Amino acid sequence: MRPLIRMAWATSRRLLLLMSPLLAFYLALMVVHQVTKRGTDIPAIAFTCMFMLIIVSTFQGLTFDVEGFMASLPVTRAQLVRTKYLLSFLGLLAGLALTLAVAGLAHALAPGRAAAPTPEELRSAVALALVDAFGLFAFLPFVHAFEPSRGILAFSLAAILALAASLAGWGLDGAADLFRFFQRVLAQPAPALGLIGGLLAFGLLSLSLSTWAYARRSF
Amino acid sequence: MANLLELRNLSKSHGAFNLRDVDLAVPAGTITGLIGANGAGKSTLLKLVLGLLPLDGGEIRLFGEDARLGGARLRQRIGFVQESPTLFPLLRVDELGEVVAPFYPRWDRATYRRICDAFELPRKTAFARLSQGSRMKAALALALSHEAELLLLDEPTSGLDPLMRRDLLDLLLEVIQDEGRAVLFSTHITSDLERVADHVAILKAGRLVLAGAKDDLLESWALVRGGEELLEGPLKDRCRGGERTELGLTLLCEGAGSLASLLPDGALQERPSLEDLVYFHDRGKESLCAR
Repeated sequence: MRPLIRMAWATSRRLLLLMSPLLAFYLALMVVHQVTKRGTDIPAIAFTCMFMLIIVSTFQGLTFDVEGFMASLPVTRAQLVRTKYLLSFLGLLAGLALTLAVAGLAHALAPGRAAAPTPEELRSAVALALVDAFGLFAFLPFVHAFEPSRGILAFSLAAILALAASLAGWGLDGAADLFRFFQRVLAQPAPALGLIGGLLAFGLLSLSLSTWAYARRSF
Repeated sequence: MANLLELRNLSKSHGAFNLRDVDLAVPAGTITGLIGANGAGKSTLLKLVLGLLPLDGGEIRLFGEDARLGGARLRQRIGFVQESPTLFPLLRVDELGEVVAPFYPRWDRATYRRICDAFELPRKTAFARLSQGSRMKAALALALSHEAELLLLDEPTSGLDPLMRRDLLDLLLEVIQDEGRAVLFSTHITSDLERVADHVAILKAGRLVLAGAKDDLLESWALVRGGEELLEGPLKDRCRGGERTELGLTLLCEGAGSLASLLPDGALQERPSLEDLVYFHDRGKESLCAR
């Protein structure tokens, strides 16, 4: 898998470079926002950072229409899928790390105005990362089963249906409620471990589904 | 001479398209040209060999092994260029070489540089900024730089200017100087095959209608020109295709060596070109006989 990761890093690096003005602008805006508002807004920072880095790590191979080329390389389809999962996970971690770096930078620049992140806020960032992980695990089988554009469309339709069902059935509004639920669960060690274990199990199921579907794809 | 690639009863259904009962062998030290009209199944066949499409039936043997079992390991020994190659658009030509190199133990940086230079590829230019022809050259450079024993090239000369086309064909001839290597390439351009192919396989609507050593095929088939009487005699049974023009009939007949005694007065026998073989096999003789 090392050559695949190296290849992904080379392309991601170039994409990051292209996106860097936009990313830098958002991050600077957030630092300014934190300093001027006398407080941190970790979930907002985390949302932006993770979203951008997931886009880079997860979507770059899909949107560049290089799947046929990748499948012609001397690697197995299972390795291609595992690499995609690993990169998505790394993107998520990088987003989380960047969130903490931005919050820490604001605090270092103006310690009197931007407070250091509280444990509560850090928990929010982790909860958001878990929501993103849940979304990725749900999303990745779709893009491995279908070609990327059709996979994104199929996932979007499935997500809308799931949201409609959760609103009608339980009055839950999807990601926001999931985020609040994860926040609550993370407050206690045992339920937090259970949540992480459950997510890992869901991740393994997602990986198995993606591997099975990708082995049957035509390029 | 060992076969680097063997296809046995290959079949694949793909929407309305069916590839059926294809048997083909690519011996080491040879260039085999795969030719046929658009939609004949050339790209499908190459993709099946590489495992890019799941096989419905039949067997593919690569280097003497079942391709389905060998998978990724066997692909290390193959160089592949797809029609209209799409590679990472943001990477420069030299970076493409760097990221592809780790996949192949026998990658040779010097060869990659030499081929890029021979193709006059701007190594510092991103793939997205290359012209269609240059993209094909970049993909060819990648396929030719890891001492692949088997090269599978899908329309490699399309988009190349005549000079570059000739350079590429010379390069393929250079590749098979090493008798352990072979090339299978699809093309529409019969003159490319005339120039370099040792073996030719003609696909028509998913079926292999003719395959064999190029010189043998050209020797064993003949074009016969004459009037309507060509279809009235025993020649009709030897005919595999033809056309009717204002000047008369032209038939493609097999068994060139024994045709002379069957020719009616005034009929002319000629050696066909590869283009004739493809063209008349594609035409068939049904339309001629239906009249």
